[in-house]
Amino acid sequence: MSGALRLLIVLFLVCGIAAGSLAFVNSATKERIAEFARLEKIEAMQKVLPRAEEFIEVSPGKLWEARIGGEVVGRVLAASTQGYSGPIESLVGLDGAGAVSGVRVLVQTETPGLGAKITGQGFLAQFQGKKAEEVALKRDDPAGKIDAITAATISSRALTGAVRKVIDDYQKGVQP
Amino acid sequence: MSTEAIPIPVAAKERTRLGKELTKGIIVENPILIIMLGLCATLACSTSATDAFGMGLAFTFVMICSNVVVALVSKITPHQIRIPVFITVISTFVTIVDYAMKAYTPLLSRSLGVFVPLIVVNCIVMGRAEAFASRNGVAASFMDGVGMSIGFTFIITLIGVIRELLGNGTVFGLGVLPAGYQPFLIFILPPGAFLVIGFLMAVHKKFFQKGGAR
Repeated sequence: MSGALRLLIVLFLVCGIAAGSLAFVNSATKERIAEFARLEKIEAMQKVLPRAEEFIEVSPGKLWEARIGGEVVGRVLAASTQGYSGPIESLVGLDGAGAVSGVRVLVQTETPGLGAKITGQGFLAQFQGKKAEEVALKRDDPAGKIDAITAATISSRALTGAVRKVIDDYQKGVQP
Repeated sequence: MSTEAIPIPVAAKERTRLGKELTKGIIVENPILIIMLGLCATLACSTSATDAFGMGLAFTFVMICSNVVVALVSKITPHQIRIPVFITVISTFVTIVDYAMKAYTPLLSRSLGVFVPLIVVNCIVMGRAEAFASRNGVAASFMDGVGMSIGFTFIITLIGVIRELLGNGTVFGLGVLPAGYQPFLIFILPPGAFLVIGFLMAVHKKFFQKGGAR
């Protein structure tokens, strides 16, 4: 009996101390972690629409309005799709005229050195200034103006398709 | 006279013993090349030198702290519940390091991803707690933890440097090879880790193990 009690007490004490120290660490780091996540999102938005001063969330996690002094100058859309080896999440900036002002990949797990190049400026800079109908791979669509990355057609096509789809949906008035 | 003479050799002996606990983890009982535990993290986090070194540091913190605490509590811990107690201790330190990395080195934390929380099930940490720290004093366990950590961090960083150099042409993110270098992509893909670890084990066997020249 006293043996069983001793097991209980020791385990209880060890877990109690562990829980207490974790609660302390959590409260010490919680704000920094949340703040970083917020800053990171804002930074990504500023990359896709550098002119804007502030971003107002219109549809949570899907659509933001970019404003300068209260005037809407563009929109940021979230695009997600299935890539070659996992989900690809990205942000697409649209300027007032409906042309792409920038694309930035937030999350991806594509093959390092091949598909992962979709995060590089070499690929993403191609989207700049393109109209919706031009956002397609050259090899897939005669109107397309995007060059696929060598040996990473699937990843290139997935991201390009996702960007095209959110712009089309937005322009057709489909609620994101 | 004789009463004074006794403590000195004991202390000296104790120092050499502690020294041995420290150095054994680096060569003779290297956690990756000899004990061959914790290879999952080694394979997954050695695609670049920076990631590998970061993993080594996170591992070092957990390894040393958990060894010391396990050595402290093992005297009062009944045998039947030692595994739950050790796991609680280890996972507490892992969670601390995970939160700290998320808060202070968010980019490194992002690229190591799930492998920081997975240090909980890293067999080296558990293995040293069970095989060493629970049966030895605090000082010896601390030395063992430091030695194992140096051995682990050194080898995983070496693997990271080799894989990043061959697979991406850079070391710690700096381009060191001429621009015309065509990287061997396979080295930053999972099979590359096995190749590099295999070669390092062969080299280690050849130079550091008795009878290894066969």
